[in-house]
Amino acid sequence: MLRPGSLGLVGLTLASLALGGCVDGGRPLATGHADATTGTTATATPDVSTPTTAPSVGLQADGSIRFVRRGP
Amino acid sequence: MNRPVLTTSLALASLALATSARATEVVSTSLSAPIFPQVLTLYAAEGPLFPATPEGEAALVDASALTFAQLLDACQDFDGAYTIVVDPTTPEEIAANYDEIARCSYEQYTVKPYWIPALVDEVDICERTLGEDWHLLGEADVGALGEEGLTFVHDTLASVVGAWGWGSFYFSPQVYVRAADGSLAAADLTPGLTTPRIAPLPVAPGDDGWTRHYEAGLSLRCVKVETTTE
Repeated sequence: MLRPGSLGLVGLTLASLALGGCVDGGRPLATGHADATTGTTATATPDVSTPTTAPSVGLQADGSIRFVRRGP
Repeated sequence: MNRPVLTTSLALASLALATSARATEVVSTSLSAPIFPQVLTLYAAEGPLFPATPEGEAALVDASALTFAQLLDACQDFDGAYTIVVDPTTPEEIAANYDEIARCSYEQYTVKPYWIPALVDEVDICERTLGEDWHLLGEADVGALGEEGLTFVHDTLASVVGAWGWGSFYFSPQVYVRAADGSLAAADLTPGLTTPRIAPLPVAPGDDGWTRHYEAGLSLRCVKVETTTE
């Protein structure tokens, strides 16, 4: 049975989890991911091992270079 | 009594969850393919022959500028000399198209990075050729790219460059830029520079060279920035 003190710990744990889940300001991206809204892209040096908010996407069919940054 | 502790911790949890649910800003930046002039058209309208009116300048842009979209269409002619995939579906096809357009633009249309500075300065070539969402790359845009963005642009172009060797200016990091003081300037998008990235042009309004084609290898790229939340 939970005591009031236990509920306090649960609350603090929830707070820690919630804070820890948004330290990077959102969903991390990896360089080289295609953006689902733009269709096919030609990307530079894909690296899916490093979570980052660095630019993604790449050369588009219209010759433009497109990249996306996500932040809080 | 543990009520204060419970209350405080639950409040913290609510605050944290609310923060976590806050919308994420998504900034999408598009750097257009370079827009180059057909220089034989420019040569016939420079110096003393340079248009005297804004309408004349705009007409000269219309007659000389070739966008990537125009070239994608036009380069399908020439008896198949250029392998253009109309609706590319793979990164390889997109990269191959870019390389073919660079070659075709030079070989068939005498396209070179020789814009007349007065035209770039006085006509909004980006909006005129690509639409109102586009503008000439500005000093603030270059700053916003940061080293990450500049490296991304560099690596993207380096991964595309093909074997032809023509139209190398399609891969150049040297571009026209609107400086913070409003003047037309040159920017070097090479990542890792230790020298100033923005430099004034050697010609200015009123100089004889201002209305003559300028052989400095500067590309004209436009930028479009879209900000959304998710």
